[in-house]
Amino acid sequence: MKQHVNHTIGIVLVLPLLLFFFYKSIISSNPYEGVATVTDNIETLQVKLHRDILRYRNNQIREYDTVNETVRQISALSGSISVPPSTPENRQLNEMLSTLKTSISEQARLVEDFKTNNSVLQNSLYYYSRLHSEIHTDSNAYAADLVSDEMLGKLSTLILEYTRKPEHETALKIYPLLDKINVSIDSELNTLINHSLIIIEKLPIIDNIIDAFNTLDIEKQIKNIESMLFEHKSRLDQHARIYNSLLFFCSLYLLGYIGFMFIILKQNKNTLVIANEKLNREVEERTKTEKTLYRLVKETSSIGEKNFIHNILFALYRALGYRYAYLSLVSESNRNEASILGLVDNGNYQADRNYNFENSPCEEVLNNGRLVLNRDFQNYFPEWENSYIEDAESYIGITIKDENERVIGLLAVADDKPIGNSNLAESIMSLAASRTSAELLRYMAQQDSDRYHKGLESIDSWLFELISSAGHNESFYKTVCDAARDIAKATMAAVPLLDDGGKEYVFAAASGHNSENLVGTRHAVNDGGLYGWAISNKKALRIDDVSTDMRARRQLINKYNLKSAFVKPVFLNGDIFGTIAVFRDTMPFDPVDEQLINQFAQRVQLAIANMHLVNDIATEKERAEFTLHSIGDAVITTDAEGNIEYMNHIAQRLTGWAVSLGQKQSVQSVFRILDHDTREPMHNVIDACLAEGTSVSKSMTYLISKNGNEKSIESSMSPILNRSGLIEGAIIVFHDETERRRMECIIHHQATHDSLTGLINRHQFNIELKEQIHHAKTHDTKHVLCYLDLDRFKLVNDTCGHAAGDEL
Amino acid sequence: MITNLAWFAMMPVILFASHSSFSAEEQIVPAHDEPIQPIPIDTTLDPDKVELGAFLFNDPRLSKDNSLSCASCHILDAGGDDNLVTGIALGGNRHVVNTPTVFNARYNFRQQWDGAALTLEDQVDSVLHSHMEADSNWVELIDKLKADSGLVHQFEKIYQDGLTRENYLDALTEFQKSLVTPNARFDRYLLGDAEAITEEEKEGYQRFKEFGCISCHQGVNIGGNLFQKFGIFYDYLAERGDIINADYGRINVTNREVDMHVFKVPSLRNIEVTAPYLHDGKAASLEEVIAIMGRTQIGKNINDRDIALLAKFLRTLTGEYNGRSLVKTDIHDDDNEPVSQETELKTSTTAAESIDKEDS
Repeated sequence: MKQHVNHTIGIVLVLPLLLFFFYKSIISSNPYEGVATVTDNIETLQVKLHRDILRYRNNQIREYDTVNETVRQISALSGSISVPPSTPENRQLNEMLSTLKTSISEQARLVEDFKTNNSVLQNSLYYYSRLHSEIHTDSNAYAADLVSDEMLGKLSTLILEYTRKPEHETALKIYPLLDKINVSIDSELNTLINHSLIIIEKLPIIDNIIDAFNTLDIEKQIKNIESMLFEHKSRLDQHARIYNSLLFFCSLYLLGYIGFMFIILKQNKNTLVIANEKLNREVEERTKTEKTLYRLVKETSSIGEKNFIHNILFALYRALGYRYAYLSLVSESNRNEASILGLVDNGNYQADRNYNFENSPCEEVLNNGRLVLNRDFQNYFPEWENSYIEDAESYIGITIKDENERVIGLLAVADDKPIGNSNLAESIMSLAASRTSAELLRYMAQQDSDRYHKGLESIDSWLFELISSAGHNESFYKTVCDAARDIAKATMAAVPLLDDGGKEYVFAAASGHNSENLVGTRHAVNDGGLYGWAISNKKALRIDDVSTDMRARRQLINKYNLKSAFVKPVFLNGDIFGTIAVFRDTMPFDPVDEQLINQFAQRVQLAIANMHLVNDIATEKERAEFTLHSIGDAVITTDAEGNIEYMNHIAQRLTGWAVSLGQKQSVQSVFRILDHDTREPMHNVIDACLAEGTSVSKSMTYLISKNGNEKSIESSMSPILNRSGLIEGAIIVFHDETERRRMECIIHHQATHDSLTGLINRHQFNIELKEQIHHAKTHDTKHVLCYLDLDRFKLVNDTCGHAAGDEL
Repeated sequence: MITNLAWFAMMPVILFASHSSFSAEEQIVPAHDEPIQPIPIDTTLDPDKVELGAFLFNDPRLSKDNSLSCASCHILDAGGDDNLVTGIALGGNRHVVNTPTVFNARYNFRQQWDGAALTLEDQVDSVLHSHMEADSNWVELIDKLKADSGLVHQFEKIYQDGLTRENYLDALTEFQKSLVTPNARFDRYLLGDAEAITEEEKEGYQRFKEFGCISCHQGVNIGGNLFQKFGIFYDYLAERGDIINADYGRINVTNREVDMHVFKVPSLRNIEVTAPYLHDGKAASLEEVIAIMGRTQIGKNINDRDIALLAKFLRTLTGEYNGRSLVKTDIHDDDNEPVSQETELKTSTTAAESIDKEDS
């Protein structure tokens, strides 16, 4: 607000200042100044002119160029003189100036007259002075006989007197003398008279001219003008002084204002500089931090977790310049233990050291979130057996938390010198910690994942043994037990299976901690133990500390020195089958272990299911083969290539081939058939069936048996399609039709022929007739129908009966 | 200033005597405290303007009918005048007064016999408008000259605004200012060369002063710096008769009774080559005019010997133009027979009478 006011005042004062400058320009071009200069010059010339005129009068100057020049200059100067008639004062001044001009031109005229008269007068006076001296030296020169010396002397005296004072009385005295002289026509005397008259005439004229000259009194006019000019000028000057003083004060204020602004600016600048420096420092720290972080990110983005820890610690070491930097990971199992994942000591890197952090700074860090000790680090932890940052004098530690704000580790730096400003280090540490947290979590997840995958691999490797040992219950469960121990890194494992009745379970296998004696023992499901619980609840059971669990304690305490347990139920066809139980001495099972055991349990389930299934399939197969065996039709199945997989005993009998399983026998070589009419082999039918999946039913075909017998058969061939519709083979079903066909031929003949005559009967005749008519129509041929009647045969039949007729 | 230094180098005495504060152009250098001063040297003239002025001086387009230029009457080879009793005028007529020389006119305090023109410019203006001379006017003249692209170009080379009345006057005046005749033998004498003039001539100068001629004929131009009545002691004009308007003199300009028969005292420089003399051109020879002057102006019948001495002195006043001494030339005047050497005051005035009415 104050600033704004100051700005306003500054601007407001600049305007009058500019105005003053404007006026100043007017004042500086004071119109009176020029006039004053001119009048001053005129005055000087005027004085000179006046003086010269008097000197001309006294014949001290004998040429008129000087006076002409002076008059010319005065005229020239006065011609240009004037002031702008803007004010009444100026108009008055102009009036005075024009009067002056008039006077000057009048004076110029007077000077002309003066020259004209003075030149003549001076000549006459010169003549007289010469005459006077001649009279004194040689009086005879002027006709002394005619004019007496006395008279001449008197005349010259009078002339002299007149010269001094040209009064009329003196002139009147001279005239008679001249009259006396003018008695002769002597030229010299005449000249004398003429000159005397000239003197008498011209002297008053000259004096009049000079009087007129004096009356004009141009000097006085100039004086008046000058005093008036001075008045005006001083008035203007006074204004100018006021303006100037105002100008001065304004300038002074402006200067002050500028100075004030300057100081303000300077202060602002200083503030700015300080702010800037602060900012720069911050930026520098930020940059440093960011560089560090960038390095952290860059160095840790692409490489493994070991390298990450290595890099982040070295980055911290380099960024902060402290001697020690280390990263600890709090043990999952024992919260008092931690492992140093990495430690940088003066550029040397160590890794993987476990330590107990009781009474150590790490404890403080983990409890309070962070610990900053700028100096005297050692004095704070006297009881700590410090082995890895022995020379530390200062210490900064910060916890690393996971996304659930659970402390998972700590990041710390230490130096063998006291730390001055720990802010930067703390901020870098904070950033590094958050970065490390993510990395550490990733690291841990990676470790879990690795463990999980290793477990899976282990499961896979066990799987073969499981499969190969399937079929034999005892060895199978023993393998399961060993595998569970290995996979879960357990010290003990047991496999109790539900007994048939569902009321009891029996240990199918057990291993570790001399638990083999459990095998074969029976227990009630509701015995309150952990196996029974798992079986009856059909749920997995994880117990981190068996001593705190009643179920576990009941069965395990005092028998085995165990810490944790995990019991996984195993199902078969949705029903509880048994459990797999694993136990550890010290470590509890974590989710990875759980998953691994789950995975393993699934495999075991499959294996058990498979084991049962295999038994079922064998039974099923036997039953199918028996069915096929008992069926009346011959059956041959082939695989996709057309090799015979199975043929029943009828097929074997009809074909004459006995094919044993596993023998690659082409179906074409066994099932040889010919077309009934053409007697061409028909192997392509089977090929088509296998290749295109078409079902074919064929009757009226001949089957050539191994020994060459022909049999008329009726067969159908169908492809065997699996679930996805692919052809896996073909099934050929056929039966012997030889007898049936023979019977069919007989029946057919009996139907179309008269049994008595052996001729075709009426029904057949109609069929033949229709065929022939149709044939004639379509083939444009001609047929002959012969009608032959046995006269009165009907009578025979009617009278003698059919038997007689037949006989006839 | 440079001129001052030059003078200082050459003649410390002169500088001492003068206490000069005049400009170089107007510097008047008194020598030996004499009432006559030598012609000063003017170095301020612009040669281009002088050249252009010289062209204008000789350009007959000045006059209405393109017949007369300045040079028609002011013949530089003939002493800057026409050597006629009265000059020729437009239309074959004659002027009413004797043509004054154009040489050293710049040192005259006024121009023309009656001093009607105050400056050289006024003189040009007067000639341009005079019915007897150019009988023209500025508009006519400038329009006429503007048709001459060469001349216009000449003007534009020197003057920003080209051919105008002011620039025409300026150029012509500049040329007139260059028409000076320094280095007369008497000037050399004044400047300290005692051998420049003979003893007789010195005696003539002595007479010139003693008789009072010096009263009017003094200064740089030996005259030309004041008005004087013609006929102080003796009325020459009355004796001559046939008074025309021009004979009234300055009264024609001032209308003052005291200016009756008052004329500008003419310069005596180059008088030897500017015959005939007097405003009416009636005095054909130096001796004649000296005699007339003696009777009319100083009231003295000068004897023949003194006349001869005075004439000798006057002949020392002939100066140089363009480095060559002016020489006397005779131009035959058909209308006005050169006046005989004898003292013949009564001469024919028929010509003057014939153009009397034209005189304004």
